[in-house]
Amino acid sequence: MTSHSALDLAVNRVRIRDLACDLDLARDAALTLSRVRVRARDLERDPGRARDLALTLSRVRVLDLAVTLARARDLANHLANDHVRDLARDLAAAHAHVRRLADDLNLNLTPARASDRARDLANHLVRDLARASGRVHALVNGLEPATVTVPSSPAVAGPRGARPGWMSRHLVQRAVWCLPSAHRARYREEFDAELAEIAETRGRVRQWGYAVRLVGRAVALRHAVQAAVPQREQS
Amino acid sequence: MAGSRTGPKMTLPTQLVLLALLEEPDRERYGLELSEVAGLATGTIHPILARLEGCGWVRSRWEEIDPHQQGRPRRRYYRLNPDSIALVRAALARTQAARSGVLRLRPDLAGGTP
Repeated sequence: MTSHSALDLAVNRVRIRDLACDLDLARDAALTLSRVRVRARDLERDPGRARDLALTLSRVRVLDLAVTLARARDLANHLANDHVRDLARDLAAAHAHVRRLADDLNLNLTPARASDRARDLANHLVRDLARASGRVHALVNGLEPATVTVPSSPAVAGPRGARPGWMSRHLVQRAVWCLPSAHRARYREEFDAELAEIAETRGRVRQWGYAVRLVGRAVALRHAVQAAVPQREQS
Repeated sequence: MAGSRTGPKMTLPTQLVLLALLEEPDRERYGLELSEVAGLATGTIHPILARLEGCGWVRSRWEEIDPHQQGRPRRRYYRLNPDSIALVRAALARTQAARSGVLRLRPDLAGGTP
């Protein structure tokens, strides 16, 4: 493999991992939409409150979801591959469902009609995103190892009870190191607990995604804890 | 004691976290759980929680377990400061009103192009 094609492969691997992270986020948001729909139906005893709660929660999440899907779709369009074109089509369909949901929320629908539409669109959305996520993870697993230095192919979901991988733990330690010394012990323990749960219940890809996002947000967390006013409690 | 009246910058992720906490104000949630409920990626929620804690709108505490007995590290639980719930609701209401106005003027800001 020439160095140029190896570099292209490495770049595509990184783009596909970004896509996997975006799809995880979009799928999580879509599942949250489904939960919101269930809660809104539970509140049908109080129509006024049900409408306000359902519309308020759904609008904020749906708009965030639309932005995420647009980003994931644009990223998929950059990759010239038949499988990825199918993926881009799935993402476009999911994005169209989300836009219809957002448009519906701006209409003066009755609570029952709004709930039914939201339910139908949320169900379509969850299916679209599950299909898109499957394509992305198949793509990640199918890529050949590159000759340039990139992280190795992620494994599929690990067995229950699995410990966090060494790379994820190393990245989490890096994130903690960026924090002020007075806060490191607290966040080290907090992040270790979350990473342990992810290792227990999800796969290695999710561990890496979690650890990478922690590193990416470490500076923001540092600024946030340094700016804390005296009300912040340290128990 | 109630938290800061001005509060943090009301970005969209911050609003999502506050809405998630407001769903059940008396309930404590840990970071991963909050990220699922709020619909945010894991690992990105901590700066938001740190800012909310810093301005007194959120409180946190360690889970009271023996990690060796339970076989897992203890979690950090978060909940809304009861004295700040009214401030949180008011801040969200102001943000929602402003956002509705913006989206009426610029509907293209609601998401990417289809």
